[in-house]
Amino acid sequence: MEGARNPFAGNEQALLAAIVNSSEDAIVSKDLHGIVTSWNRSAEHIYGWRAEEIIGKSKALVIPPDLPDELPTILARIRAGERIRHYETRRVRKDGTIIDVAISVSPVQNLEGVITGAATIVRDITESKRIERELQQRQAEVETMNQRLTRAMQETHHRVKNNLQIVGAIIDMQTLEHAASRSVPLEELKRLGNHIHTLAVVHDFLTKQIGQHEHEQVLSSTAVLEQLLGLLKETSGSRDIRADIEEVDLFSKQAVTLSLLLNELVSNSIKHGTGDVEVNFRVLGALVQLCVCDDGAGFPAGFDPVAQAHTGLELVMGLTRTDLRGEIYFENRKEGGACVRVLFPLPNRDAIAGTGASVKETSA
Amino acid sequence: MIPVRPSAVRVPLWWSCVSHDPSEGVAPDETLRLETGADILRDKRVVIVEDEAITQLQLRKICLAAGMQVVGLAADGEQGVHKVLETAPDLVLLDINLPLLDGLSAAERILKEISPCVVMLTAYDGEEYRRRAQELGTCGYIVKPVTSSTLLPKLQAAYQRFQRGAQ
Repeated sequence: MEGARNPFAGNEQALLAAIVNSSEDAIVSKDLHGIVTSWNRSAEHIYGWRAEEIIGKSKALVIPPDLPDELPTILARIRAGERIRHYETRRVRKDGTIIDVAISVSPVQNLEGVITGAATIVRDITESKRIERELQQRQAEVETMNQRLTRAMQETHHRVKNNLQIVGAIIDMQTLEHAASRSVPLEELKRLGNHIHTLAVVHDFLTKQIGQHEHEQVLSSTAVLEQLLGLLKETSGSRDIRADIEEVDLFSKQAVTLSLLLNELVSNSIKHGTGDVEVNFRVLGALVQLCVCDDGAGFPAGFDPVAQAHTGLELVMGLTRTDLRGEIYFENRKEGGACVRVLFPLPNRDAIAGTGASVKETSA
Repeated sequence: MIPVRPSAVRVPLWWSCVSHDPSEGVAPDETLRLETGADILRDKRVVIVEDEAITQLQLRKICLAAGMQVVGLAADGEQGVHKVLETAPDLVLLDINLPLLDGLSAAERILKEISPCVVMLTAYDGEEYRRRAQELGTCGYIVKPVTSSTLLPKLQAAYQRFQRGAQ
């Protein structure tokens, strides 16, 4: 270009020195013993050592203590005439800060072609490494959330399908029981409606807390049963339902079963008994007891629940025995009235804490 | 504690876990039989392995209504294998997601010993499960939910396949 003038014309050494000093990368040289022989401005900036402080001293000053073999290995390869291409490692600054760096090392030869040392180009990649680590962390978090969401969707799908199976089964059993008359009594449809409400209550609770538990989902007995009793009171007319519910953590399957049982037993008490319905749920040692009592005529003498079994009674007995692994008692109170008592093992606290054996969630 | 009379009725342990006479509870339903054409299943001896009480109850009622004999009920895989080997039924209705031993492993153990028509009855609709069930030699794979009108024709078809295979 006209008028342009090369200030280093004829002085190639000065030009090279200017290039090295203006580089954003650290450019340093050392002899074959690792003694620093040159140190540019960027090296001062990256390592915190000024040139006059480090020239003549060992390059080991910038190698972290946990990488003692790195400098001897580099020097051995340089002596063998090997060029060490870009690799990532760590270095230590004068103030002790560890930094991430990308390094290339090349042998330096004298005029006779003898290797006398090495030239190292160093780039500080601490910031890009930090961003990379942050991205990896974010990616891992997204992956965890994705897994949790997938699990929650699978659980919800399974639970909804299971609820549909329960509803379908109850309808089917009613259909079979009333096949001869070819019509199902309105009362049974009302009972089915209550069961659907019951399943919806438990489903609501489970959906609110889905994903919060890594293992088995657990529900509070007071939260679920009191909410359900509230619904039953709405349809019990003048009959009051008095409840005393003790707090117990229940597995989701137990919560579903207990809710269906409670619905069935309270509906029976309202239908067959008189006066208020009394619901009592308490822990008795290693067992949990659910009692539903009324002030009616009680069970007739010689009452045999097996012989008298109809769908409702079979449902209650099946839920107790198969789902809760418990026992059921049909009793008459001294002061009059019927009382159905269900006893089942207390949910395993270790399993609830996620440290013990898991209990099966729902059937497939 | 609510006071009760000493004469309380306790439902016996065996009520929900052992065989039932087909005449007990649900009588064979002629209408159902005619509607579904489930004659081939009549008098067949069946074991039901299902851990969900309501579904177990429903399956039992469907089988009894179709004129089958429910010779065993079980709520886990181990108990299921035991019941089947003990009673040697014609048919086994077997859930997959069972406690103690899953249904496919239970089917494998059963079919190593005896050859009933094992029908998997499950909420799992995956191809992998179906293939595994087929490899084991089961004669049917039915996906829940089921009703009497959907289950019996499928059960009948499975049993026909089983009979053809046995000839």
